[in-house]
Amino acid sequence: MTTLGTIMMEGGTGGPLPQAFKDFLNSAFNPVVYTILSVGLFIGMLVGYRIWTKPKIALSLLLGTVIFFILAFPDLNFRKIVTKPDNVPIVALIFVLGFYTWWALRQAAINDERIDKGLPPMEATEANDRVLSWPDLIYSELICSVIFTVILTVWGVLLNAPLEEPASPGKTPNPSKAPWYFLGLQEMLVYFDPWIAGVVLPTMIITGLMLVPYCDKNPKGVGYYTLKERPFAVGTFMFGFLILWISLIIMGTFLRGPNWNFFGPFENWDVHKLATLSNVNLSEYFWVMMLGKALPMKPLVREAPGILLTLGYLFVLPPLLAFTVCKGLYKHTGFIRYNLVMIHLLAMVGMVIKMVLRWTVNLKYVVFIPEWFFNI
Amino acid sequence: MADAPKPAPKPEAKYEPPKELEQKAAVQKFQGRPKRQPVEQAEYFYNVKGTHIAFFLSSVGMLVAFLMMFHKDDARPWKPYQKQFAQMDFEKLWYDMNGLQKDVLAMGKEIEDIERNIDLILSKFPTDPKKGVEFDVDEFKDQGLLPVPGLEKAPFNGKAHVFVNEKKKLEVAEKEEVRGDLYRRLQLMNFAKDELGAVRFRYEEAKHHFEDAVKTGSDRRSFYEGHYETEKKEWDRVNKEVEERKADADEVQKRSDFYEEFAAALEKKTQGKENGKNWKVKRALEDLRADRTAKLKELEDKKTRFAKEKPSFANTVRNAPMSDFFAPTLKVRNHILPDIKDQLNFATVTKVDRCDTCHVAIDNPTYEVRINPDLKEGDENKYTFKEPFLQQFVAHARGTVEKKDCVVCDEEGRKTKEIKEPLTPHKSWESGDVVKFTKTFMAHPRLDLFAADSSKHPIAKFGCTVCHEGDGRDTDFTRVVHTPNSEHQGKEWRNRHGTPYGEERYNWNYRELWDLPMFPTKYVQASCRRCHTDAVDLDGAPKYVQGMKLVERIGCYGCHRMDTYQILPKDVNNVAVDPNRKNRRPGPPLLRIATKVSEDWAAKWVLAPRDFRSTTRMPHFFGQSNTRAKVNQNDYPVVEVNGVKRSPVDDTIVASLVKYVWSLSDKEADPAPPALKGDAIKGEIIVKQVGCTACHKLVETPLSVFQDQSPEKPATRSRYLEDFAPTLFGVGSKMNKAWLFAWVRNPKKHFKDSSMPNLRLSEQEATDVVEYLMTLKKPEWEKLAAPQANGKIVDDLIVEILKKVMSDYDAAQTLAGKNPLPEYKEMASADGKVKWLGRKMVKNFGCYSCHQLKDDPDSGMKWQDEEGIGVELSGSQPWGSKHHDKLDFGFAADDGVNHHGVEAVDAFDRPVKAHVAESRAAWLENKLENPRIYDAGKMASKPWDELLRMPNFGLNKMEIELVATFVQSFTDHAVTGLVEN
Repeated sequence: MTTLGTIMMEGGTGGPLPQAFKDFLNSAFNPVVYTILSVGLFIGMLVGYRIWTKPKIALSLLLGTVIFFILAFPDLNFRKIVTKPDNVPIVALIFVLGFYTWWALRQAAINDERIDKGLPPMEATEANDRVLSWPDLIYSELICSVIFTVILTVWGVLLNAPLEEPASPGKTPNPSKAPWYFLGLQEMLVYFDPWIAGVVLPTMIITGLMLVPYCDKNPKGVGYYTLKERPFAVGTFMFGFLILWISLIIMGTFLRGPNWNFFGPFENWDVHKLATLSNVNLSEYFWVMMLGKALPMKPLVREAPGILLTLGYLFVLPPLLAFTVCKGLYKHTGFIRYNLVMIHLLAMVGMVIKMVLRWTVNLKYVVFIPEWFFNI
Repeated sequence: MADAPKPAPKPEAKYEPPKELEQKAAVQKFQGRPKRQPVEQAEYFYNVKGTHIAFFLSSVGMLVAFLMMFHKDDARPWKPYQKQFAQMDFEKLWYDMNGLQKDVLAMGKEIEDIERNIDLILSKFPTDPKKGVEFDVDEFKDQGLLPVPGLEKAPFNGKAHVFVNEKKKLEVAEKEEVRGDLYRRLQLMNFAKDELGAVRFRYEEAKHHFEDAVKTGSDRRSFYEGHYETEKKEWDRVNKEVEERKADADEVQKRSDFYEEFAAALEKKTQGKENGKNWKVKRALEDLRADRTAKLKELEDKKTRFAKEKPSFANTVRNAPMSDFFAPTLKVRNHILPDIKDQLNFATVTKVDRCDTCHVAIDNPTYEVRINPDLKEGDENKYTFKEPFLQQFVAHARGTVEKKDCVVCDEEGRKTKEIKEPLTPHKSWESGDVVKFTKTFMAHPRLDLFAADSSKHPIAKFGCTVCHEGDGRDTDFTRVVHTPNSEHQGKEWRNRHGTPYGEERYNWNYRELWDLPMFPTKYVQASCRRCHTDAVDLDGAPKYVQGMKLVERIGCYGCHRMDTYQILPKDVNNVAVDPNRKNRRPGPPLLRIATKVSEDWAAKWVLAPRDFRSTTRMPHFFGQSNTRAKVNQNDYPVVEVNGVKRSPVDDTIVASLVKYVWSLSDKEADPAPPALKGDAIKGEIIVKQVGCTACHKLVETPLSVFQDQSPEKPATRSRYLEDFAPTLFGVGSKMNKAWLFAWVRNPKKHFKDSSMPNLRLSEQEATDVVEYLMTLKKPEWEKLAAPQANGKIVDDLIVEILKKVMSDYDAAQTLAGKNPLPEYKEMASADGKVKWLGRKMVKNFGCYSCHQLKDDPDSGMKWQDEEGIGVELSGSQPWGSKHHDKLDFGFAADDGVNHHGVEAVDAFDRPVKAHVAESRAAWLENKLENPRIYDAGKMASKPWDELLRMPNFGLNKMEIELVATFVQSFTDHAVTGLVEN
């Protein structure tokens, strides 16, 4: 390990991590890699949940993350982003959320093993246990409130409120970021028009969550953690929450810099960085590249492929699936529930599909009718 | 603990009546209540003892957190400054009080002495003045109360006769007599003086006539001579008489003074203690008493202040955390300035300045500072207080005096005093504190103009940030946006405190989002313009004024639009424009250039004007650090011509420029001068006599005089401010003789806005002058090869230009002359191509903005109406309001972390080096020093039309600072609400 001084002299940005490693991370990282990595991790997490949640493995994973943070911390660019008062809650979020995910999956792993052996879940054995409200409940609540007061006070003392300068129409902050809990939505704005990313999709998130108790007919898994008995429900929810919400918040916080460009974790947020964003509409792919024609003048004709594709995706695909892949689901839930679930599920998956298409074939819009301000 | 063994069941207890006192416990025992500890644990889910410990620890944590909160609230960054100042000021108060005490005592003693002497003198006078008495003056000599010295000798006899007059008062016999004598002598002296005036007139007249007669050989010479002799004698006599009479009067004056004083003393003797007001001694005594009373009052005031400020329990409580809301002695000082508004984009708010929360003594003349200009920033002795006690205080706090010699410690003096020890102990200032505190506590360097109540800009009315900018409401060193004068100073600020790295690795960092960063002190004069918009001379703003002159001389306004200088016809013809703002273009018009100089000369000149004339205002466009060696993918490396490195690309561009300008020029030659034979020697005499040399130098000043020799030895002269008109040296190698003749006869004929007057020379004189001027040649210049257009480079340049607007194929076709469009019809011939390229280059380099050109009939280009090529400096986006992230730093930026400046080699193998701090001022300074610097490192990838084009004016550090001050004065931060005067 070289000393800090030498690295500084060699033109690095500080810290014990080798500059070559940091450069590699910076250049290798982009939204595609980031998303593939997080989806991969997610799938691995669900598949291997019985193995990695074992306390020793989980603890070493936690230790690994902590050590990475400690090693990366002296790096000027990394530290600048991580210690920005705005971003500190997101650092905490990584660890807190990691802990609760581990907790849930650990419980699920134990329960699923018990179920495999024909035993009732752990929670069932505790059902008859009673504790006294004093001291076991109220006393511990008091202690928790004191500890939280301490944490909040120390936080308030150590980090100043992230207030900035008086607003100026001539000089907006760059990057202009939404509050941290909306960064996932802001990331969607890269791929969709505001009316979808800001109105339709958030509404569907809410209606979807409202529908959960009405659509979920699975009687299992009530009152205890399990993955084996409700893989679809748990997997779908965790995908929506961890990947489409949390990981996008993390990306928006730490990896999106000026001009909403993507920056590696150790990269300087250079305002002048330029990224190519030459995107192409589906209609251009269809008419110009496939058929070798000019674009038709009439918007409906021009966008016919995209419109047909969208309608097919939303209205033809569910019945098709109902008779093929999702036969079981259809049978289990019935016509109305099936369609409600499918509409929401397809909307969620549709977002991922659009992101993948953007990265792979630079697809700008599936339907592009600027004449009517209607773009999908 | 949950597994703790349960106690064995109790055996049946035999009932025994309990003793009274043990009843309760006994009942419990009987009822079988077990010992609490183990059973209790079994009942609870958590370990109670452990819970108690957790509660205890978290409570301690909360206490610590609250203490942290109190500390954070108490430890404000400005407090150390106020504390230190309060201590310094208190020690000064203590010292002043002691001084006053001593003064008062000494004065009391003096008063006593004088009174005793008065009594002594008076005692010598007769108490019963019945008859006259004669005194020996020497008796009074020793008392020093009467003006005796020097009076002993004649005519003074050393005696004074005292007698009693009709009013029964003592009087000096000689007094009136001497007074009369003095009057007479003074009168005589005045008569003599009067006479002197008259005689002087006659003497001068006579002298003049005599000298005139000698010169003209007049036949009345002898008459005038006689007259002159007489008057001269008279003049000498009167002069001597005046001297004598004056000496005479002086002598009597002394005697008179003595008798007057003696009489006044006698008057006091006869009229009692309260009288004798005419006696000077008595008057002096009264003044002394008044002084002493004043000092006593001052002392009392200081004692009151002392009692208030001395360290005491009450003062400690006032400043203690949590109780400091009431009436602390350390507090934020507000200057609320209702007359001045801050524009915060969406709101207009009253300006509030809190700067003197730390700069406590900014308007206090006691804390005036002497700045030593020879020392570097950061040197302990650069800033020293003028007031001696404060100097000694600094020495004391720094520990550079021995405690026993220390005036501040003053161990002997303190023994009997209330404050036993100085508040700031010896050596309590750390390294750097001397500079820090001295600079913070210094009064404004121009108290006569700023900050002080009596000045024109009192702090109570104007505040600070109205000129200095920055965030006046804040009280933290970084957050008020202090801006360093230099990168070195910036480093110092960062290094002084704090942790080793990070954006906020030092205590100071640049608060980049604030709209109005504070001006570095060297540029603060730029803000004068905000109110004094039309002023051309300002006391207290020499840099701004000089900068304005320099910008005018250099002609920055040619390319960079500025609302103070307008040259475009559309502006100048605008009736709304203030006529004072109309200006001519900075350079001479090129309407008849072909008749003035040769094409070769012009090409050589454009390539490197300073090589021909060191003091020219024309800048260098070529041979710069961003000169290209590659055009249209072909390499054209630099070659050596006559020992000088030249770029063939530059040569081609220059030659094409000149060719194009020639094509626009009037070619009708000036009428041949009359066939007179010129005489160079006579011409030289005329040049020196007529006054040409007042504006034109005949000898060239070497360029090195105006250039910085090294960072430590900056130049102190500016060639732009020194020279008013071109140096004439070398003019013989430049001008066409016929043109020069026409010019000398009437400069306005060729250039109606020229500042050169018509000297009304006759044809012969003009011929002589031209003959002389043509001898001023530069032979080594004449030997230089003129730049020539290389056909291949011309083609490549044209293709490169065309490729920006058309396909490669079309470009090739156009170059071959096959493009039918009228704008490309010149491509048919080689000369046409050069001219076409020249036109593009004239537009590119903006020749037309300094030099008037004729409209181009071939392309329809109206050069007169073209805007300059530079960025506008005034207007809606004035340069002084530009934020540094709007500026292109290229690779020259150096923030020490992600950018490390640029170090490259240009096409001429010269090193190009720049490390520019990310600040507006640093960008500007580097831009002025090398205008092409921000292309460094980008030469391989920049298209031709994106290359920087600002020419190099060869400015030295001093000039750069002046120009930068003026450029930063263009701002949209108006001061509203304050009307001047």
